[in-house]
Amino acid sequence: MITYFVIFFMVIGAVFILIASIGLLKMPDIYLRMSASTIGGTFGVASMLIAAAIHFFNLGIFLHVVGVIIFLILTVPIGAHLLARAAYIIRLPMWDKTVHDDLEGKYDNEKQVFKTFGKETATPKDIVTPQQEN
Amino acid sequence: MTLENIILYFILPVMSISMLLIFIRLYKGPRLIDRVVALDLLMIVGIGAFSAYSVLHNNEVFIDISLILALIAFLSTVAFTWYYVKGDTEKDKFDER
Repeated sequence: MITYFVIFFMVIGAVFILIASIGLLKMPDIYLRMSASTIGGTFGVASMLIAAAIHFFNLGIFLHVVGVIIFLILTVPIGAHLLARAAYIIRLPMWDKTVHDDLEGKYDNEKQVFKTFGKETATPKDIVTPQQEN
Repeated sequence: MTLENIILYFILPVMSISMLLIFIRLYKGPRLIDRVVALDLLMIVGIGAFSAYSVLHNNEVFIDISLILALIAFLSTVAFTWYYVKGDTEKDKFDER
């Protein structure tokens, strides 16, 4: 009975990793490639580690697998975000059919911070917080 | 269909095909950062291959490698992006988007 669970999770993980690699190969743009590889790779590897934990059925292995999965979920999006930020700072070209770029003209590449537009953006002093009444 | 047959004839070939596709991207990659994304995904796929291998050989030792491999993948990505932003490798080519 346990074997079927192991097979189920392992097949799902392998298929997700295959989808992630196909997305990495076929996507037209660095940002889209990063999205495909991050989501598919994390979910596929987490599923395969869960399959290994079910197979061994041991508390030490289970805690180890949970630690690895939490570490992956924490660190893989951080790495992808850093890569996308580096690609945006270097100004790599986007795909031809990109519809919208939210950051266009709002990012100072010299100082690597957001530009502020004077009075149009609200500073923290301008935001009026509702006063609590006791 | 036992577990060993499924791992030997379905799981490991699928992982090999996906590693081959990632290697094609690593070879083709038009810029340096494409290759870095390919290497990052390659290390993550390696963790899955290690777990499948440990289930196949019924040996728990290979699970221990996965934590170290995830740590090395994250640290290499962070270090690379740090120096990629600092350096002037490709900054001049793409001034106009």
